Amino acid sequence: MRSERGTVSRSKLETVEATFRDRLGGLVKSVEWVPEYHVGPTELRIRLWSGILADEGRFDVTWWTRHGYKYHYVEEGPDGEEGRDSEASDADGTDGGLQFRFGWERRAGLPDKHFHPPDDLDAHRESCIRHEDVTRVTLAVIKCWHAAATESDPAKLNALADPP
Amino acid sequence: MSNDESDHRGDSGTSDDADTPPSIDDVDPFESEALAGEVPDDLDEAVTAEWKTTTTAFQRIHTVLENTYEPKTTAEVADAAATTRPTVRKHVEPLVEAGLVEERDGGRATRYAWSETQRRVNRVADLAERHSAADLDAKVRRAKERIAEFRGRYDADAPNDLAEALDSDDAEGWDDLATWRTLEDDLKRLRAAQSMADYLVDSGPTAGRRDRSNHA
Repeated sequence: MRSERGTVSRSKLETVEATFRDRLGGLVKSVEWVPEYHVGPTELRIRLWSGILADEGRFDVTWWTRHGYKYHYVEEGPDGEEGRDSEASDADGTDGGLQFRFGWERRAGLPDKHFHPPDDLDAHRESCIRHEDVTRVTLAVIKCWHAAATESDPAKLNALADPP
Repeated sequence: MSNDESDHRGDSGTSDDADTPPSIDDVDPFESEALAGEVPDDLDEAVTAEWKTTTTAFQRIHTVLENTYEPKTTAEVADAAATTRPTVRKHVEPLVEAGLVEERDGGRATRYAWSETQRRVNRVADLAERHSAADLDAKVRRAKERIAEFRGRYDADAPNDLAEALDSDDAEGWDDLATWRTLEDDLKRLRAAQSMADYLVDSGPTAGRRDRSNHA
Protein backbone atom coordinates (compact mmCIF):
# COMPACT_ATOMS: atom_id res chain seq x y z
CA MET A 1 0.00 0.00 0.00
CA ARG A 2 1.35 3.38 -1.01
CA SER A 3 1.50 5.88 1.78
CA GLU A 4 2.03 9.14 0.00
CA ARG A 5 1.80 11.92 2.58
CA GLY A 6 2.12 14.97 0.33
CA THR A 7 4.29 17.69 1.85
CA VAL A 8 4.85 18.96 5.37
CA SER A 9 1.91 21.22 6.22
CA ARG A 10 2.91 24.56 7.70
CA SER A 11 -0.74 25.50 8.00
CA LYS A 12 -1.53 22.49 10.19
CA LEU A 13 1.58 23.06 12.29
CA GLU A 14 0.53 26.67 12.81
CA THR A 15 -2.75 25.34 14.18
CA VAL A 16 -0.75 23.06 16.49
CA GLU A 17 1.29 26.01 17.74
CA ALA A 18 -1.79 28.18 18.27
CA THR A 19 -3.47 25.36 20.21
CA PHE A 20 -0.46 24.79 22.48
CA ARG A 21 -0.13 28.52 23.19
CA ASP A 22 -3.82 28.93 23.70
CA ARG A 23 -4.08 25.98 26.12
CA LEU A 24 -0.76 25.96 27.94
CA GLY A 25 -0.01 29.69 27.79
CA GLY A 26 3.15 30.51 29.70
CA LEU A 27 4.12 26.84 29.99
CA VAL A 28 5.24 27.06 26.36
CA LYS A 29 8.91 27.95 26.62
CA SER A 30 9.68 28.28 22.92
CA VAL A 31 8.48 27.23 19.50
CA GLU A 32 10.93 26.59 16.71
CA TRP A 33 10.72 25.36 13.12
CA VAL A 34 13.32 22.70 12.37
CA PRO A 35 15.46 23.29 10.42
CA GLU A 36 13.68 26.47 9.26
CA TYR A 37 10.23 27.72 8.34
CA HIS A 38 10.73 28.66 4.69
CA VAL A 39 13.10 25.91 3.56
CA GLY A 40 11.80 22.37 3.94
CA PRO A 41 10.71 22.31 7.58
CA THR A 42 10.59 18.78 8.96
CA GLU A 43 9.07 19.51 12.35
CA LEU A 44 7.77 22.07 14.79
CA ARG A 45 9.62 21.91 18.11
CA ILE A 46 7.63 23.02 21.13
CA ARG A 47 9.56 23.29 24.40
CA LEU A 48 7.64 23.29 27.66
CA TRP A 49 8.61 24.66 31.07
CA SER A 50 7.34 21.49 32.68
CA GLY A 51 7.94 17.79 32.14
CA ILE A 52 6.46 14.51 33.32
CA LEU A 53 9.55 13.16 35.09
CA ALA A 54 12.11 15.81 34.14
CA ASP A 55 11.93 19.56 34.78
CA GLU A 56 11.20 20.32 31.13
CA GLY A 57 9.95 18.53 28.05
CA ARG A 58 9.46 19.04 24.36
CA PHE A 59 7.24 17.90 21.52
CA ASP A 60 8.56 17.47 17.98
CA VAL A 61 5.48 17.62 15.79
CA THR A 62 4.91 16.98 12.10
CA TRP A 63 1.71 17.01 10.05
CA TRP A 64 1.59 16.23 6.38
CA THR A 65 -0.84 17.67 3.83
CA ARG A 66 -2.51 14.41 2.75
CA HIS A 67 -2.60 12.39 5.92
CA GLY A 68 -0.51 11.52 8.90
CA TYR A 69 1.10 13.14 11.89
CA LYS A 70 3.58 12.50 14.64
CA TYR A 71 3.89 14.00 18.10
CA HIS A 72 7.21 12.81 19.46
CA TYR A 73 7.80 13.73 23.08
CA VAL A 74 11.29 13.83 24.60
CA GLU A 75 12.66 14.61 28.04
CA GLU A 76 16.17 14.75 29.32
CA GLY A 77 17.26 11.83 31.45
CA PRO A 78 18.83 12.15 34.91
CA ASP A 79 22.26 12.20 33.24
CA GLY A 80 21.21 15.20 31.21
CA GLU A 81 21.01 13.23 28.02
CA GLU A 82 18.02 13.38 25.75
CA GLY A 83 16.37 10.20 24.60
CA ARG A 84 17.61 10.82 21.09
CA ASP A 85 18.44 13.70 18.85
CA SER A 86 17.67 12.28 15.46
CA GLU A 87 15.71 9.53 13.77
CA ALA A 88 18.90 7.51 13.76
CA SER A 89 18.64 6.04 17.25
CA ASP A 90 14.94 5.57 17.43
CA ALA A 91 14.65 2.64 19.68
CA ASP A 92 15.74 2.51 23.23
CA GLY A 93 14.45 5.04 25.64
CA THR A 94 16.21 3.48 28.59
CA ASP A 95 19.47 5.46 28.62
CA GLY A 96 18.08 8.91 28.03
CA GLY A 97 14.91 10.47 29.33
CA LEU A 98 11.27 9.67 28.92
CA GLN A 99 9.96 9.48 25.38
CA PHE A 100 6.71 8.57 23.71
CA ARG A 101 5.00 9.19 20.44
CA PHE A 102 1.50 9.54 19.05
CA GLY A 103 1.44 8.81 15.34
CA TRP A 104 -0.82 8.35 12.37
CA GLU A 105 0.64 6.64 9.36
CA ARG A 106 -0.59 4.03 6.95
CA ARG A 107 1.45 0.88 7.27
CA ALA A 108 0.42 -2.62 6.40
CA GLY A 109 -0.46 -4.75 9.40
CA LEU A 110 -0.20 -2.02 12.01
CA PRO A 111 -2.84 0.24 13.51
CA ASP A 112 -3.04 3.53 11.55
CA LYS A 113 -3.31 5.61 14.68
CA HIS A 114 -0.81 4.35 17.15
CA PHE A 115 0.97 5.11 20.35
CA HIS A 116 4.57 4.23 21.11
CA PRO A 117 4.56 4.06 24.90
CA PRO A 118 7.51 5.21 27.02
CA ASP A 119 8.32 1.70 28.23
CA ASP A 120 8.44 0.23 24.72
CA LEU A 121 9.03 2.72 21.93
CA ASP A 122 9.02 0.01 19.27
CA ALA A 123 5.52 -1.12 20.12
CA HIS A 124 2.68 0.10 17.91
CA ARG A 125 -0.19 0.18 20.37
CA GLU A 126 -3.59 1.26 19.26
CA SER A 127 -3.97 4.95 20.07
CA CYS A 128 -6.75 6.43 22.17
CA ILE A 129 -6.89 9.27 19.62
CA ARG A 130 -8.86 8.56 16.46
CA HIS A 131 -9.62 12.06 15.20
CA GLU A 132 -7.94 13.27 12.04
CA ASP A 133 -8.35 17.04 12.39
CA VAL A 134 -5.46 19.01 13.82
CA THR A 135 -7.19 20.84 16.64
CA ARG A 136 -8.80 17.82 18.25
CA VAL A 137 -5.73 15.63 17.93
CA THR A 138 -3.63 18.37 19.51
CA LEU A 139 -6.14 18.88 22.33
CA ALA A 140 -6.07 15.13 23.01
CA VAL A 141 -2.26 15.01 23.05
CA ILE A 142 -2.15 18.01 25.41
CA LYS A 143 -4.72 16.29 27.65
CA CYS A 144 -2.66 13.09 27.86
CA TRP A 145 0.55 15.00 28.55
CA HIS A 146 -1.11 17.27 31.09
CA ALA A 147 -2.69 14.38 33.00
CA ALA A 148 0.69 12.63 33.18
CA ALA A 149 2.64 15.80 34.01
CA THR A 150 0.39 16.95 36.86
CA GLU A 151 0.84 13.57 38.55
CA SER A 152 4.41 12.97 37.40
CA ASP A 153 3.18 9.59 36.18
CA PRO A 154 3.80 8.43 32.58
CA ALA A 155 1.23 5.65 33.08
CA LYS A 156 -1.54 8.28 32.79
CA LEU A 157 -0.67 9.00 29.17
CA ASN A 158 -2.81 6.76 27.02
CA ALA A 159 -6.18 5.58 28.20
CA LEU A 160 -6.50 2.61 25.85
CA ALA A 161 -2.90 1.48 26.13
CA ASP A 162 -3.24 0.79 29.84
CA PRO A 163 -6.71 -0.46 30.50
CA PRO A 164 -7.59 -0.54 34.20
CA MET B 1 -3.74 33.92 9.49
CA SER B 2 -1.25 31.82 7.61
CA ASN B 3 1.76 33.98 8.26
CA ASP B 4 5.02 32.83 9.69
CA GLU B 5 6.00 32.18 13.26
CA SER B 6 4.27 35.28 14.51
CA ASP B 7 0.88 34.05 15.63
CA HIS B 8 1.11 34.74 19.33
CA ARG B 9 -2.03 34.70 21.35
CA GLY B 10 -2.47 37.74 23.51
CA ASP B 11 -3.71 35.90 26.56
CA SER B 12 -0.77 33.60 27.17
CA GLY B 13 0.68 35.48 30.10
CA THR B 14 3.38 37.53 28.48
CA SER B 15 3.55 40.20 31.15
CA ASP B 16 4.26 38.43 34.42
CA ASP B 17 6.15 35.34 33.33
CA ALA B 18 9.37 37.24 32.84
CA ASP B 19 10.81 36.17 36.20
CA THR B 20 9.73 32.61 36.73
CA PRO B 21 7.94 30.26 34.38
CA PRO B 22 4.52 29.16 35.64
CA SER B 23 4.12 25.94 37.54
CA ILE B 24 2.02 23.28 35.88
CA ASP B 25 -0.45 23.63 38.74
CA ASP B 26 -1.14 27.23 37.73
CA VAL B 27 -2.25 26.24 34.26
CA ASP B 28 -5.74 25.01 33.58
CA PRO B 29 -5.86 24.10 29.90
CA PHE B 30 -9.46 22.97 29.61
CA GLU B 31 -12.84 24.52 30.22
CA SER B 32 -15.28 21.65 29.86
CA GLU B 33 -16.18 19.15 32.54
CA ALA B 34 -15.39 16.36 30.06
CA LEU B 35 -11.67 17.06 30.22
CA ALA B 36 -11.29 17.71 33.94
CA GLY B 37 -9.22 15.17 35.86
CA GLU B 38 -7.77 11.98 34.42
CA VAL B 39 -7.72 11.06 30.73
CA PRO B 40 -11.33 9.97 30.12
CA ASP B 41 -12.16 6.58 28.64
CA ASP B 42 -13.63 8.19 25.57
CA LEU B 43 -11.00 10.81 24.94
CA ASP B 44 -12.24 11.52 21.40
CA GLU B 45 -15.70 12.44 22.61
CA ALA B 46 -14.36 14.54 25.49
CA VAL B 47 -12.08 16.48 23.17
CA THR B 48 -14.99 17.19 20.84
CA ALA B 49 -17.02 18.51 23.79
CA GLU B 50 -14.12 20.75 24.81
CA TRP B 51 -13.65 22.07 21.29
CA LYS B 52 -17.34 22.90 20.96
CA THR B 53 -17.36 24.64 24.35
CA THR B 54 -14.46 26.91 23.48
CA THR B 55 -15.14 27.85 19.84
CA THR B 56 -17.94 28.87 17.52
CA ALA B 57 -18.99 26.64 14.64
CA PHE B 58 -17.59 29.20 12.22
CA GLN B 59 -14.17 29.15 13.89
CA ARG B 60 -14.08 25.36 13.71
CA ILE B 61 -15.19 25.31 10.06
CA HIS B 62 -12.59 27.93 9.22
CA THR B 63 -9.79 25.99 10.91
CA VAL B 64 -10.82 22.75 9.23
CA LEU B 65 -11.00 24.33 5.79
CA GLU B 66 -7.71 26.13 6.24
CA ASN B 67 -6.15 22.75 6.84
CA THR B 68 -7.94 21.00 3.98
CA TYR B 69 -5.78 20.19 0.97
CA GLU B 70 -7.80 17.38 -0.55
CA PRO B 71 -11.37 18.51 -1.22
CA LYS B 72 -13.97 17.47 1.35
CA THR B 73 -17.72 17.14 0.98
CA THR B 74 -20.06 19.19 3.14
CA ALA B 75 -20.64 16.09 5.27
CA GLU B 76 -16.91 15.56 5.74
CA VAL B 77 -16.36 19.17 6.72
CA ALA B 78 -19.28 18.95 9.15
CA ASP B 79 -17.76 15.84 10.70
CA ALA B 80 -14.30 17.34 10.98
CA ALA B 81 -15.67 20.56 12.47
CA ALA B 82 -18.10 18.87 14.87
CA THR B 83 -21.11 20.64 13.41
CA THR B 84 -24.00 20.09 11.02
CA ARG B 85 -24.20 20.21 7.25
CA PRO B 86 -26.54 23.23 7.11
CA THR B 87 -24.13 25.17 9.32
CA VAL B 88 -21.25 24.28 7.02
CA ARG B 89 -23.25 25.37 3.98
CA LYS B 90 -24.10 28.68 5.63
CA HIS B 91 -20.48 29.51 6.48
CA VAL B 92 -18.69 28.10 3.48
CA GLU B 93 -20.51 30.31 0.96
CA PRO B 94 -18.89 33.63 1.95
CA LEU B 95 -15.48 31.94 2.09
CA VAL B 96 -15.98 30.71 -1.46
CA GLU B 97 -17.09 34.17 -2.57
CA ALA B 98 -14.04 35.74 -0.96
CA GLY B 99 -11.83 33.38 -2.94
CA LEU B 100 -10.42 31.71 0.16
CA VAL B 101 -12.10 28.38 -0.44
CA GLU B 102 -12.37 26.56 -3.74
CA GLU B 103 -15.48 24.72 -4.74
CA ARG B 104 -15.20 21.63 -6.89
CA ASP B 105 -18.01 19.76 -8.50
CA GLY B 106 -17.05 16.17 -8.03
CA GLY B 107 -19.90 14.17 -9.49
CA ARG B 108 -22.58 13.75 -6.86
CA ALA B 109 -21.37 16.14 -4.17
CA THR B 110 -19.67 19.51 -4.16
CA ARG B 111 -16.30 19.43 -2.45
CA TYR B 112 -14.36 22.18 -0.73
CA ALA B 113 -10.68 22.87 -0.10
CA TRP B 114 -8.68 25.91 0.91
CA SER B 115 -7.56 27.79 -2.17
CA GLU B 116 -4.12 26.61 -3.23
CA THR B 117 -3.66 29.91 -5.09
CA GLN B 118 -4.41 31.81 -1.91
CA ARG B 119 -1.86 29.77 0.03
CA ARG B 120 0.84 30.21 -2.58
CA VAL B 121 0.33 33.90 -3.20
CA ASN B 122 0.31 34.65 0.52
CA ARG B 123 3.54 32.78 1.16
CA VAL B 124 5.33 34.33 -1.78
CA ALA B 125 4.21 37.83 -0.80
CA ASP B 126 5.30 37.18 2.77
CA LEU B 127 8.72 36.01 1.63
CA ALA B 128 9.19 38.88 -0.79
CA GLU B 129 8.18 41.56 1.69
CA ARG B 130 9.97 40.36 4.77
CA HIS B 131 13.27 39.03 3.48
CA SER B 132 16.21 40.75 1.83
CA ALA B 133 17.52 39.67 -1.55
CA ALA B 134 20.61 38.20 0.13
CA ASP B 135 18.43 36.28 2.54
CA LEU B 136 16.34 34.85 -0.29
CA ASP B 137 19.50 33.87 -2.16
CA ALA B 138 20.80 32.04 0.90
CA LYS B 139 17.50 30.20 1.30
CA VAL B 140 17.56 29.14 -2.35
CA ARG B 141 21.07 27.82 -1.82
CA ARG B 142 20.07 25.82 1.25
CA ALA B 143 17.04 24.37 -0.54
CA LYS B 144 19.23 23.27 -3.45
CA GLU B 145 21.81 21.73 -1.14
CA ARG B 146 19.25 19.65 0.68
CA ILE B 147 17.62 18.55 -2.58
CA ALA B 148 21.06 17.49 -3.83
CA GLU B 149 21.52 15.44 -0.64
CA PHE B 150 18.28 13.55 -1.27
CA ARG B 151 19.25 12.95 -4.90
CA GLY B 152 22.53 11.50 -3.74
CA ARG B 153 21.17 9.48 -0.86
CA TYR B 154 18.45 7.79 -2.89
CA ASP B 155 20.15 7.86 -6.27
CA ALA B 156 17.00 9.41 -7.73
CA ASP B 157 16.48 12.52 -9.85
CA ALA B 158 13.11 13.56 -8.57
CA PRO B 159 10.70 12.74 -5.72
CA ASN B 160 8.48 10.71 -8.05
CA ASP B 161 11.38 8.38 -8.83
CA LEU B 162 11.86 7.82 -5.12
CA ALA B 163 8.13 7.20 -4.67
CA GLU B 164 8.32 4.45 -7.28
CA ALA B 165 11.20 2.78 -5.50
CA LEU B 166 10.08 2.93 -1.87
CA ASP B 167 8.90 -0.06 0.12
CA SER B 168 5.52 0.51 1.70
CA ASP B 169 6.90 0.02 5.21
CA ASP B 170 10.00 2.19 4.83
CA ALA B 171 8.80 4.83 7.30
CA GLU B 172 11.91 6.95 7.09
CA GLY B 173 11.84 6.83 3.30
CA TRP B 174 8.30 8.16 3.18
CA ASP B 175 9.27 10.88 5.65
CA ASP B 176 12.17 11.86 3.42
CA LEU B 177 9.99 11.78 0.33
CA ALA B 178 7.58 14.25 1.92
CA THR B 179 10.46 16.51 2.98
CA TRP B 180 11.94 16.35 -0.50
CA ARG B 181 8.59 17.32 -2.03
CA THR B 182 8.36 20.16 0.49
CA LEU B 183 11.80 21.39 -0.55
CA GLU B 184 10.90 21.29 -4.25
CA ASP B 185 7.78 23.36 -3.52
CA ASP B 186 9.78 25.75 -1.38
CA LEU B 187 12.41 26.22 -4.05
CA LYS B 188 9.73 27.25 -6.55
CA ARG B 189 8.23 29.56 -3.98
CA LEU B 190 11.57 31.15 -3.18
CA ARG B 191 12.25 31.78 -6.85
CA ALA B 192 8.82 33.34 -7.27
CA ALA B 193 9.59 35.52 -4.25
CA GLN B 194 12.87 36.64 -5.82
CA SER B 195 10.98 37.77 -8.92
CA MET B 196 8.31 39.42 -6.85
CA ALA B 197 10.91 41.25 -4.75
CA ASP B 198 12.47 42.59 -7.94
CA TYR B 199 9.06 43.67 -9.11
CA LEU B 200 8.27 45.39 -5.82
CA VAL B 201 11.57 47.26 -5.85
CA ASP B 202 11.04 48.41 -9.44
CA SER B 203 7.51 49.62 -8.97
CA GLY B 204 7.29 50.52 -5.31
CA PRO B 205 7.79 53.84 -3.56
CA THR B 206 11.39 52.88 -2.79
CA ALA B 207 12.29 52.95 -6.50
CA GLY B 208 12.61 56.72 -6.60
CA ARG B 209 14.73 56.87 -3.48
CA ARG B 210 17.03 54.22 -4.81
CA ASP B 211 17.48 56.11 -8.06
CA ARG B 212 18.43 59.28 -6.29
CA SER B 213 20.97 57.62 -4.06
CA ASN B 214 22.48 55.91 -7.08
CA HIS B 215 22.99 59.25 -8.76
CA ALA B 216 24.34 61.01 -5.73
